[in-house]
Amino acid sequence: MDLAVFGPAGAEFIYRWLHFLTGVCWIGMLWYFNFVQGSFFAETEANVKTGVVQKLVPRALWWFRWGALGTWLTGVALLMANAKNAGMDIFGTSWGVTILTGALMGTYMFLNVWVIIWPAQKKVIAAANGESVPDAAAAGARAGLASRTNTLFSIPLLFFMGAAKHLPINIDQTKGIATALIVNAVIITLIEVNGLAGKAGPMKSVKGVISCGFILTAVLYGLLECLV
Amino acid sequence: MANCTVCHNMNPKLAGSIGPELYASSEALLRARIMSATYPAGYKPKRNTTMMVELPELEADIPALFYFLNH
Repeated sequence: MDLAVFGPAGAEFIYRWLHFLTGVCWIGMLWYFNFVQGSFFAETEANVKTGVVQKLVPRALWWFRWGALGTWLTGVALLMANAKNAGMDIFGTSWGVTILTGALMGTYMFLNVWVIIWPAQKKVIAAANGESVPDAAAAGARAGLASRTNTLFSIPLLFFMGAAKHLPINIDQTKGIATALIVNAVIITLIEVNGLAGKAGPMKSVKGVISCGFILTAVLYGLLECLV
Repeated sequence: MANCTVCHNMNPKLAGSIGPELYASSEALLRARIMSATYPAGYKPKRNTTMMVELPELEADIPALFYFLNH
């Protein structure tokens, strides 16, 4: 009996399955932090908040950061498998331009988790456990802004990941995809720079970050359609 | 159709997410692509990608696909 999972498409499918599993784990935790925990912290008593930071947050952050790593690694594996199976010209297709737009946001999000959010949250947790951490409040604010930026990116990220296979965009072969990719990459990078050292602005509220996510999706998609 | 539209467009006159437009494909081209992932002699491919694998289980559907893509 030939099992499809051991056939030519099997390895790629396994990468994709793991990409979904780890991605749901990561983005689920991200949305929990931003849509549920933040609002809860805003109205709860200080001792309850301390207990949550001591006991709940470290557990949630474990799934959050390893989910992020798993999602990113399996995403890279999928890109490499597609390039190996189909050749580099596949990146000049509708699939290529949409998946690369999503992958850029996903890569910034993954780096935000491991380079900004997790180190900053370690300080916040240490302070909640009674250690002297003078910059704990500043670290919490830095993690919060990076987390809000990740929440903003998560909305167009899922649009472009889904669009890669399910929303074929008509590519004008005389124009190619380079201009569209560069323009979208500049916009995404400017938002990431704001997430490192800027202000939350309208992303401060849950409603605001969700609205901004849909607006960013429309802008990036609109530019893509206009420029390819 | 379900196999094809993973990469090609539901509208055969348009390119899909990965595969090119298929409208007016000859039966010889369909047979070569589906049965052995090759091209008929002398045919110039629309793309240089090599993503498509052979799908011999679809052999019986080739006439219907040819009809769909040419009407």
